[in-house]
Amino acid sequence: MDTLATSAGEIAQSVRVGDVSAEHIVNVYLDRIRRLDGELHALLSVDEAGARAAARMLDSLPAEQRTRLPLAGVPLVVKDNILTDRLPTSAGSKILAGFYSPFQATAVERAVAAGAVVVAKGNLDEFGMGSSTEHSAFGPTRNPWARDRVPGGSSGGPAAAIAANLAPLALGSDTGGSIRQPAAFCGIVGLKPTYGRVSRFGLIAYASSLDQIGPLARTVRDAGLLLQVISGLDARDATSSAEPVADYLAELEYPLRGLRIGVPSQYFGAGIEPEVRSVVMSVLDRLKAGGAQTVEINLPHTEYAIAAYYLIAPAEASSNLSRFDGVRYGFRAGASDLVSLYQNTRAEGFGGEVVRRVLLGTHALSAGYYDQYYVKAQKVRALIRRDFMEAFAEVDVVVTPTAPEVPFGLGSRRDDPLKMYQSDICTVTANLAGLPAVSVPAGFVEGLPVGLQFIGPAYSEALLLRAGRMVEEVVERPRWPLDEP
Amino acid sequence: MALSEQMVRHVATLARIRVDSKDEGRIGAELSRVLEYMTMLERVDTTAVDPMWQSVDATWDGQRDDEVQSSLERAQALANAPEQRDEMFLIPRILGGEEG
Repeated sequence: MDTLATSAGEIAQSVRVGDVSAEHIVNVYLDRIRRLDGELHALLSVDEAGARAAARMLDSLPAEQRTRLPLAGVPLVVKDNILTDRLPTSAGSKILAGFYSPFQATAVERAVAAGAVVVAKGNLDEFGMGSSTEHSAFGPTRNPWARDRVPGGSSGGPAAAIAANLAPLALGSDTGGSIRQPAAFCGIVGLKPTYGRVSRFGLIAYASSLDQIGPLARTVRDAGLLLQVISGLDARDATSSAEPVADYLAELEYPLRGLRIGVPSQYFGAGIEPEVRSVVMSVLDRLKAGGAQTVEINLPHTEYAIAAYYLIAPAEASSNLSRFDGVRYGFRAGASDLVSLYQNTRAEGFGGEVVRRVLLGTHALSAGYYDQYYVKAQKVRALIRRDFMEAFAEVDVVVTPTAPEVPFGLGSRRDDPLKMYQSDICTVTANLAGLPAVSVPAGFVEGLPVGLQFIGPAYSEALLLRAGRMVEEVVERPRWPLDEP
Repeated sequence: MALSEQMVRHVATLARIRVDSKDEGRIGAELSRVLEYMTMLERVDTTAVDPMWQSVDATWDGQRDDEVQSSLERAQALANAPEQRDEMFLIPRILGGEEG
């Protein structure tokens, strides 16, 4: 078996039936990480010894136990804002450098219980705040398709790791597009579940009303495989949902006929690069030829989404990040009194973008501005959600480009925060409305990946995966960037 | 609306982040540019619209039975502390010391 050419589902199947050992699988991927990640810098920490030990433990299980593990022996990269017990968790920030969590996130726990082997932690924009992974305190990640370009962000490390095949599966987090935009930039599949579908316990909070953990993978089926394992109610996250979890893999087997796809003019006009638009439209033409219907729809409040998002997310962040004060964990700066200790620790521990967003959020919540900024943004958010609810009376899913552009050059936007924020225009609306959305590869513009996004009603992940599978069937897959010939 | 250097100092104090005085002008200008963009929200008619604080459709009440459950061991909770003594987090003196 050529391990590296194999999907997560096939790896797990081979390990389950004993065709190959988990230890062999893990060694193949660790070897690849050692060879390739020096240049890509997709990963912040790698646990070779722990991963091998975990794999050996899987190999020593009685066969009847191993056969019940949906992710048996599958190497997993975890974004470094999700707590793991063996590897450190930095959130890409100097303020948490060297932090070892005493407990593990529910999503990681569930993946490990299903047989996954955590091999490494993935790079990210500090605390998830960014769209390029350039705001990591530990240096940027390079896009495997074009090393002088960004992989997107904030889950740029996990996305690049999947595209470079440093692991078959990764867990990311998505507050305003942080799974989907890097998935699009790296030519892979990324899914943001419905708010509440996956427990956020053990995810370092950025904006609690928007954050979700979700899967990144090379194929829709592999994304569904990981989503299946991590979904469901968790008593440790009061916002997790008791809604029953669908059987995603079983549903993927049913063909989807007559899908009604809403095409909102707001996502195909000004601000979207014409080449990106034509790639997505060309896929839609092929889906129509296969029997899908497209319906022009109107989501009139779309143009206000970035403004609402960049008030709500920083406001919540300013509250969530108050816990980083140099007292209980993480970096501490020198100071002679307590207030200076807080102020110096946070000034020296946070990077520039985090400081910018915490100050912005603090201002938006402060006396005299709360109604003008924060409350107003939450009302506009309600209208954005209403737009979607009205659309879903007519259509099954909404289609958009995942990002308005192809991956941009490293360093080209670092000093223009507003321009960077606008690269999230296609993705923030699903977070604001709490809806699930998936990005699937749609094609290329001059060798650079383009993603297509489907947004669906709450808990429609099975439908989104089936729609994503339809796209996979009509898009030709080129050779992966770093695969051996 | 432009953020003056004095307002940057005020917000930085609220956020407990030290901002060097030489950076106040730059930060004020950056935030002003972002806030200027946000003024587009004023164009949206939101009369009779309730703010949407959460996107949760409550499918359970988020509560469990009132039973004692195990939590972090003290040593684990202290393991990442920058400074600790006698099983406590250590911070600079806040009462009865010299002037800070």
